Amino acid sequence: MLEVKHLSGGYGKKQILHDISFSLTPGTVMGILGPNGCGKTTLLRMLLRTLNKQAGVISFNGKDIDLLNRNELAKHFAYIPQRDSVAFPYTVFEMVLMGRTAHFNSLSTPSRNDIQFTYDILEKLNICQLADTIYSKLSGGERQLVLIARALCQDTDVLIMDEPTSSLDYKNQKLIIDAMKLAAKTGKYVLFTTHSPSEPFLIANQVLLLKEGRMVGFGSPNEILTSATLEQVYSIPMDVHSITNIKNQEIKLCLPIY
Amino acid sequence: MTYTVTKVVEWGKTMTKHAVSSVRTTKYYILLIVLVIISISTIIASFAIGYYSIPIKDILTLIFKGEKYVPSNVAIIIKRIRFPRIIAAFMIGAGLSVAGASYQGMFKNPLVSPDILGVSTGAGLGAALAIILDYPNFMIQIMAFILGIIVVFIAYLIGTRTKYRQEISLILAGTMLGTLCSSFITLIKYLADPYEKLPAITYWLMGSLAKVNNQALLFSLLPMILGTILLYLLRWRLNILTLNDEEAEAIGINPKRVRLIAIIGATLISASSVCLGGIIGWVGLMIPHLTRGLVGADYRKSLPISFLMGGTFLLIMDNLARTLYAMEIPLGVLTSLLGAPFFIVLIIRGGRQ
Repeated sequence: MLEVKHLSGGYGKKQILHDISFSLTPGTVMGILGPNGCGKTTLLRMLLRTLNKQAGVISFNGKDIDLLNRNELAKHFAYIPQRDSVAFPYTVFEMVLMGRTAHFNSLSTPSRNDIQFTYDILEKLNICQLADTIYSKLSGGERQLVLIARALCQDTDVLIMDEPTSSLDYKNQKLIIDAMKLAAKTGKYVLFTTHSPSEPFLIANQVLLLKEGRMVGFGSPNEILTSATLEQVYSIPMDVHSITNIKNQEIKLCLPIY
Repeated sequence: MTYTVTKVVEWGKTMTKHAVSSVRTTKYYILLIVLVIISISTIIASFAIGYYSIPIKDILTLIFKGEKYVPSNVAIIIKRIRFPRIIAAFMIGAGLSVAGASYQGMFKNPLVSPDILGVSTGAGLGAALAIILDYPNFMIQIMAFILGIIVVFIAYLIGTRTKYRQEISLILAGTMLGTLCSSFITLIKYLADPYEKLPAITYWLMGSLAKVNNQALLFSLLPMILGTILLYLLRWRLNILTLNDEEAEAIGINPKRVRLIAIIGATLISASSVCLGGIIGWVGLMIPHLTRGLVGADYRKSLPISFLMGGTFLLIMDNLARTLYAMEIPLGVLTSLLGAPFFIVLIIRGGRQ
């Protein structure tokens, strides 16, 4: 169980998030939605404890995460940033191997088991052929996959993704979404932020809707993402269409009315 | 448009066999062995080179049989003059390269050199002060060492006042303190006695290993080795430190603490290098670059390679400095003459990419 109770926080004295509460069960994919500046990234940062909260409790399996040290925390929560920050020519394999850091002593280096684990992850994501490629030379979609591989290599219970599908083309979006589904199937919690309200219908079973740092709704996509709530959050009229695609599958699309 | 999951696997449960050691790893070990051989032969050959040339045969006899079997004047030259100088040159080159490599990673900037936090100019100020105060030679070294460390310490205190993007504020603080120190040095030079003190200060700042003796070597070698070991122990964490702090924290390290330990290690190396041989620039910038080109960015490989390449490089430079011309060329000048064009090539190549 991942539980967040009455969480508030922000930067310095400025408060951005107010009284956020939700709880998730294993295998949940939760989409976090809201306009720019609503506190999506702030929430992720507090979950990762890279930003200190001002009030509230975050607990994992009944244990307050404040009681964990960096290393223990990194065994529970992995982070997949939106943009990477690599200035040096690391290979894909080296990048992914970095995910194992929390699993060995602070002055030692990865063991054979860590290396084996890394190869297995690359294989499961079907990117073994990239292992020796220089990471910074990859395309955006491949990079995102490598960052997911690194997070999976960390072998955590929770994956926290900051806008995983933004700035990717459709094919790469599908690859990322498949990887997220795969992770959820194995019982991981997957939390992601997005700017596309249609996306949760495809992957998420929970949605957290934020506006100006406050919760507008929390629940299943069908129950939360309605034209009324979306209009309230995004401040423009929104339509939620239910359509059938050529494969005869029912899908939902959220479109703004300009 | 619905996506089906085609493969369902349990993470980490299926352990298929892979070729764990790849071609890259094999290449690395070959390079390592080759460089060890080159380093050792350069060190031995360096004993032969100089104003008084000594046959290699004598050197090998001295190493393997003892000093009784070689002429006494040869033994004295080898032990008292060439030994400290050669070891100093190798260790300074090796140490500065390791320190430079570490700094480039943690400041996420391939153009950073080991004196980015002001250690060299701080040490220069210490030396200039000691010279003008007429302190004995060993006090010049101690003052240089201590002031170098103090300047880095102040830069660290200023730079870590900011909560986010500490790398940037550290670089800024270091550069500012460096400028401050060099203006003090200029002031001291201006006020110094132009016949005796001024040349002494100027010469010290140029960087040279001409005055290294066994006593000075002993004093500097310990902090240098300590710093190198510290950075080597951190080699894996240094990889993580090249990511931004948020990612590094999420991966499970404390970037601020690792950075502090790395700064301590690099400062021990640079400060003792400066007090042994004055300001010798460019080695710590160039060698890590060449190393990354050869073995990639991973510090597990690049630190040992940087150590060997840097040591050999500076030793060859110092050999040139003492033999190229009848009068000794300052080592710092020689490395700069090579370093500046290297830097220009780097910028041009970087621009093309």
